[in-house]
Order: sequence, then C-alpha cells, then structure tokens
Amino acid sequence: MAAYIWRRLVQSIFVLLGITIVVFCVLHLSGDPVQLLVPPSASQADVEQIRQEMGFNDPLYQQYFRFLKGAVQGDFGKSFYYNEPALKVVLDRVPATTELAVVAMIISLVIAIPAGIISAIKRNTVLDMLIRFFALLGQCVPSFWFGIMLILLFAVNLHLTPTGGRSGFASVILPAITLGMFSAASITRILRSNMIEIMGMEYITVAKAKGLTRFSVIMKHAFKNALSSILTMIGMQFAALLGGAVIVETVFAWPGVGRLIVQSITNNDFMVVEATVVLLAMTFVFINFVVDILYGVINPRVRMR
Amino acid sequence: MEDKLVLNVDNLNVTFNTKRGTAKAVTDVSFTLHKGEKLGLVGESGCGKSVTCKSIMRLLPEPPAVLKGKIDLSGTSILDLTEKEMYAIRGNRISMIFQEPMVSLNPLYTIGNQLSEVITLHKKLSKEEAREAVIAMLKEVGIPSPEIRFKQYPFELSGGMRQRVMIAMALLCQPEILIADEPTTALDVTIQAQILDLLNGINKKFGTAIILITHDLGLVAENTDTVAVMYAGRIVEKAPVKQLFKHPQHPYTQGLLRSVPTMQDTGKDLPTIEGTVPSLYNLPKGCPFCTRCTKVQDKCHETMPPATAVAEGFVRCWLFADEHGEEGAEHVF
Amino acid sequence: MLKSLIHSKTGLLGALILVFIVFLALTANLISPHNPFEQDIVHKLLNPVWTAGHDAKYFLGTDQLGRDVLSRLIYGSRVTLMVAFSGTVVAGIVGVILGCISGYYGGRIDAIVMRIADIQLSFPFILLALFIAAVLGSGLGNVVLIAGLCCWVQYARMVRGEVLSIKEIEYVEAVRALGGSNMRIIFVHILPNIASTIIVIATLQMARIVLMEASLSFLGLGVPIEIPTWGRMLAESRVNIVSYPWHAVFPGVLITLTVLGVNLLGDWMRDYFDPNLDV
Repeated sequence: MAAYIWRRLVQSIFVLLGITIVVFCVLHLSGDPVQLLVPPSASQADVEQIRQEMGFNDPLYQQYFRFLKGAVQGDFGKSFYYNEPALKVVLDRVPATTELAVVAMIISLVIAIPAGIISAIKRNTVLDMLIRFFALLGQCVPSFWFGIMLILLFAVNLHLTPTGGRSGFASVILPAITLGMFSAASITRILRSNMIEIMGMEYITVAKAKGLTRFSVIMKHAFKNALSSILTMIGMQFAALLGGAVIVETVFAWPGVGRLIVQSITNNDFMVVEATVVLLAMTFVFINFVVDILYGVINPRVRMR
Repeated sequence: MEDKLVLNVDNLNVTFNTKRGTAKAVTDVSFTLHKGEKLGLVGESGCGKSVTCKSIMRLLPEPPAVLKGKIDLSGTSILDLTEKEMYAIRGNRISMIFQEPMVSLNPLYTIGNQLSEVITLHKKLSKEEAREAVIAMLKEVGIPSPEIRFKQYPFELSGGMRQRVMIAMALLCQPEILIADEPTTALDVTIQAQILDLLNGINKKFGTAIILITHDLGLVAENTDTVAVMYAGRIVEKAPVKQLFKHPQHPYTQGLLRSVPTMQDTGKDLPTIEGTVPSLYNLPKGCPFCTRCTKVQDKCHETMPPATAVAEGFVRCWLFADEHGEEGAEHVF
Repeated sequence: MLKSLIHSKTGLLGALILVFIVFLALTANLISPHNPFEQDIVHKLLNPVWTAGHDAKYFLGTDQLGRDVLSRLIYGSRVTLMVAFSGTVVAGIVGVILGCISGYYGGRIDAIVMRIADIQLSFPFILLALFIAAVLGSGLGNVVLIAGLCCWVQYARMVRGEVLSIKEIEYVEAVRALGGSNMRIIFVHILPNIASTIIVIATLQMARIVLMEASLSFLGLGVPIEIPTWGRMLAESRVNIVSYPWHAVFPGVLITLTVLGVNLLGDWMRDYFDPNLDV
C-alpha cells in the first residue's frame, strides 16, 4: 500500500508541474504578457519600465523558474483591483466555494445513489423510465439557466430564499442544487449502468444461490462493487463541481473563487487569475490523489499490484 | 444407493414470456433422485439442463419465467414456497456450483468472508465457530494452508482452487443435493480430474446427492450413477450409466454416442447429427427430435411419445411405445 | 440505417429536434419577423403576446434595447450550430492526428501526449477555457479554438488504441520520417474501422460544446456582444429578470432542446453502431 501511495504522489507532483508549465505558456501565448498585467491606463514608458522590472526581458526559462519559485512561496504578485497580495484575495474566497461544493456534492450523492440503484433494480419499469428521463434532462439543461429559473421560482415568486449572496443555509441551498444537478444526473446514469452490469455477474447469482435475501445480495454484494466502480467518477465530479462553480457563483453572486476568476478576467486583474488557476490546479491534483488512494483501499487488487 | 427419495420432479414445465413470444424451455420433465445418487444431466447447449436445475432452486426471475408442476425436496414442495421460505433452502438444503470459478466470487471480499457468510446465515454460528467450520471444509476440499487462504482475496487463487472454494462453500451447510453446472468446463484437463474426484469423494463421504450437468459424455461415463439425456427441453432417455452407454435406446442418445471420437475412428470423418435444434419459441407439435431423427415415423410429428420403461430406465420414443404407452415410467426409474 | 432511426423513439425525437434547429439556422433571414440587430428603443422590454405589456408586432417581446426576441432566438441558432460543428471538426482533426502520432511513434511522444490528455481530463475545462479566453480575448474563432481544445482527447485515445492494435499485427520498423508505405497502410486499415466511432464521439461531444459556448457567452467571453447568441441573451435578461421573467425562459429552453436533441441522437447512434462502445 505504501508503494502505491508513493507512486501516486510522485505522479501528482509531475502533473502539478505540467500544469504550471501550461499556465506559464498560455500567459506568453498572447504575445505580450505585460499588456495583460498592467492597468489599461499605463503609458508606453510605464509599460517598458514594468517589463524590465518584472524581468520580462529575461530568457523564458528564467522567467518560468521565477514564476515557479514565486508560486511555491505563495507569492503571485499583487492584485490591481483589490490592492492586496493576489494569493490572499484568492484564499479569502476559498471557504465560500468549499461550502458550496461540499453541499452540492452531498445533495448530488443523496439524489444520485438511490436513484441509480433503484433505477437498476427496477429496470424497465415506469420508475426507471422517469429516473432516466430526468437524469438525461439534468445533463442537457445549462446550469446557469437552471439557476435563474430556481431563483425566479423560489426567491422572486415564493420568497423562500434570498436571490443571491451568502448568508446562511437558505442562501446555499439553491446554488448547491444548481451546482449539483449535472453531477447528480451523470452519476445516476453511470451508477445505473454499472449496477445492471454487476447484477448480471456470476457472483451475484452465486450469492442468491447461497440463500441470501434479495436485500443482502444488493446491499452487500452489488452495492460495494457499484460504489467502487463509480468512486473515481465521484472524484472527477467533485473536481468538475469546482469548474461549474464558476458559473453558479456568478448567477447567485456567491462570493467564492469561481466568481472571483470571472470578475478578475473582466477586470484584467491578471495576477489574481494566475493565482486562482494554480491554486485550483493544486486542488484538482489533490482530489485525484485522494480518490486514487480511496480506490486502493476499496479494491484490493489495485494496491497489491 | 439407498432408497430414500431426496428429490422428485414431476411434470416440470418452465416457460419464458418475452417480447419475442413464449419460449418453452422445459416441458414435462420428470425424474427422481435418491440419497447419495449421482445423476448426470446431458444435452446440447440450450436443451434445458441449467433451466431445470435453476428451477429446482427457484433461481430464475419469476416473471418472465413461469414454473408449473411439482418439485418435492424430501417432503418440501418447492414450487409452493414463498421467496422468503426459499432463502432457507438455498445454500442450505440444496447448493449449486457454477461453470466459471473465475467470476463466481465477489472480488472485493475475502474468501473467508464469503464462505462464513453462508454458514452464519443458515446455521447461526458465532464468528469463531464459522471460521473453524470454514477452515475445516477448506481442508476437506483439498486446499493447502487454509488459514492463509481464509484471509486472501479471490484474485490470489487459481481457477482450480477457486472451484474447490466454491465446492467448499456449497457443502458447508451439508445440503442434501449439490448441483454442479458444468463445473469443469472452464478448467484445465488435469484440474478437471481432480475436481471430479473431489466431488465423488464428497458424495461417498457425506452421502450428498449430486446432479452433474454437462455436455461432455466422457465425464458422465466416469462420474455418475444415472444419466438423463435432454433435448429441446425434454428428457428423452434416462438410464443407469452402464446401460446408457452399452445399450442406448433413443436415436438422439445413439447419435450423441456415435459422434464421440474413439481411438478406432482415426482417419474417418466424425459422424454428426444432421440439422439443428428447433427454436424454443416454435417447437414441433410432437417429438422435438422429429426434424432430425433418422428413424422418424409419421406419428412422431403429431404426438409426443410417452415414457416407456426399458430395462432399468425409460425412453420417450415411438419406437418403443404404442399408443397406450406406460405413462409414469419416469417416476419408477 | 434510416429504418432503425425511425423505429427508435428517442433517436427519432433527437433527429427531429436537430432538424428543427438546423432549419432555424438555415432559414433565419427568411423566417425572422424582424432584423435581430435593429433596435427599437421606444418599444423596449416588451413581454410575449400572452402576457400583459405586450405588442402584437413583437411576438415574444423585445429586450432592453428594443430588439425582437423571436428574431434573436432564431438567429442565435446560427452561432450555436456554427460553433458546435466547427468545434467538433477542430477537435476531431486535432484528436485524430495526435492519436495517430502518439500511437505510431510511441515512446516519449506517446507518453507526453497521453500525459497531457490525462491532465486535461482531470481539469474542468471551463477553467482552461476561461484562462484562454482571458488571454486571447473573445471572438468566434477563439471560441471554436477553445471548443476544439476541450474535446480532442476522446478522439486521440480511440485512434491511438486502433493504431497500437494495428502495430501489433504487422511488425513495423521504427520509422523516423513521415511518409513511406507503413503510414499509408495504417490509414487504410484504420479509417474504415474508426469512422463510425468518430461519428458517435462527435455527436456526443457536440452537446458538451453547445453547453460550453452558451456558458462562455453567458459570462461575456464568447462571440462579440452584438451577435445574438442564446447564452448572451440569458445574461442580458438577468438585469430585468424580476419584472420581465419571460426573457430568461426562452433562450434556456432552446439551449436545453438543442443539447437534448444532440444527446438523444448521439445515444441512438452509439447503440446503432456498437452498444458496447465505451463512450
């Protein structure tokens, strides 16, 4: 097991490095990164001075290492818009996004796991059809529109929740549902198909032949296998949630990292954008790492290899 | 072979209602099984051998399957039981092992866990008692170092060993009948022999009746007491094994035995039975073999022949019966 | 094939929806009651004809600049489809080429390409899209580029698998330069096999691209703001949503409908060509 963890750790570090390279390259893709980094009101002389000061005339690899060094030390420069270190601006908003993502994931799983299992067990019944229909629909509806409709219904018409902002449980429920919807739909569909495949496996027939009750067969034998098959997917969904948060936070004016990145792009506050992307990348790599480890815990074959 | 009747199947009919129509998987199947008897069930793929045995254990999903007839297990009428009552029968009074040992075990639980499961379920033993019983049974089926194997996962065992584990699992509650559905088809030839020896040994030691399902006539010759030949959902002939091989009565049985190559046949073409098995959705009105039988008569197409006693067995063929053939011959032999 | 499509209720529904959307796009200038760019400030913020505050001249109402909603919706289909198709083509080309190179040359190139693919898969694309949009700016070309970049991985993986299996069949010496009969053999062997899979992947990817374009437009990072696109219309409708909720309904319905159509058709295609496809 220890060897497995070590291997995954090394891989994660490589991926992280890869991402920093990508971020760095994209920054230089535009041709003149300095233009992006200075306030629009700067004069040509200012631009040249900043270019020299910030070392943009240095060879690329030197710039990259400086960037890397800064990233490791937590120094991403200063945000123009907020006049604070870029990293601090981002970290201040992490709790809000975390709250949103966690609640969304919980809602998503609470809906998807029973739905997927029931849909598979009661295959081809009306209940199955309904679940499949809504699961498909959940993947087709754009999240920003769904959020807007929810606001219209529950906030504007029914006055049950605030229309936006972060203020307590009532304020997180709508954004969390919006954010979790796509994940719930995806997980339901995949869980259903995995469950059907598992129920057809011979060890399930054997379990029945042993005299286990239908409930035991499903919950003890089928369910654990189904869960392990979607565990990686759940991890990926959690990562995807962080991406979806960009849109949902914008719709609900939720003060999180996603909204920050959109605003910073509009404000040309590039240091913040850079800091956010790197931090988010680290989060994803971490999530994937945790998922890999969990998978090794559940599936003995993987960790013993 | 003792006289105590352990299983009495009487006119079992199993049909499946599907979108394509109604498939008659098993029609008017009757046979008996005595304590300690080894019955071989042979026939081609799709002839109904597995469906018959799964029906005995009520393992078929009951819609779309429809079961009619009587199945008596030492006094218990299987077809009258509720699903809840069947839980006490499966794994306990009747057990079944399957063809693919590689996928018969749940990959996420240890061997010990999956074996203990069946005995704690039926015999209400404590965890320690279950563990002892499991290790003893693992030893019995010839698995070395059973204490170590107890803690291992299925992927750590070879195919032959997994099949032994399956046999151990099937025997833990000392069932009256063990059904083995093609238990050696997926294994190497050398392992095959070991597994069959194991089954024979179990049968002698514990008196467990065995139903051996197979398409391999060679296995049947060596490892059974009685053989029933099935075709398109019916038993066409049943006889003690020596009688079946020496004096096969039904044209289908004769065809099967002819097509098994022997040492004397080198250089010659293998004889085959012309034609194909009829679809279970569309069986002929009379004997299902009528489309391929070399000795077919007119009345074969019209009416199914009754079972006629022949020596120590019975056969369903118009060559042996007249219009008033002795019904019930299946219940005697 | 057509017969199978007609028999499949969901596949047929998907196809019909798409035909409808394509029809809208193709005949936009013929069937739109008004010019989608034309502003009529006097008649701004009207509601659909079935509610209060409407004007029969503008069937679904007008937006905050007095532009006819119905016409903008119809024209919006053009952007959606254009991005969807071109994005798919770009993704397909990039993916197939990279997959071929990766599988053919193997070794370090393969390792690098596959690593990049893995990294990209674990990263929600919207973030990369935002980052690129921030750097490159908005515009139709950039949106198509982003769409292509988001979706090449599935093609690459599939093609690479096929190339590897062909390589197993024939012993191929490591060739340093492109060209030569080996490359041709690979194309001749591979293309027929993968054509149907590529179509299935493309159809299902299109759904992703439609949603992505809508999201980018919603955030203000898509095509230039005068061009009517459903995502943008939704964003603009938010300002007055409390008083004029209907303007937020229609663009969303159309996006959902389009994605639904693509998904239904894609599912049918996958089942038709190979139900065992791991897509």
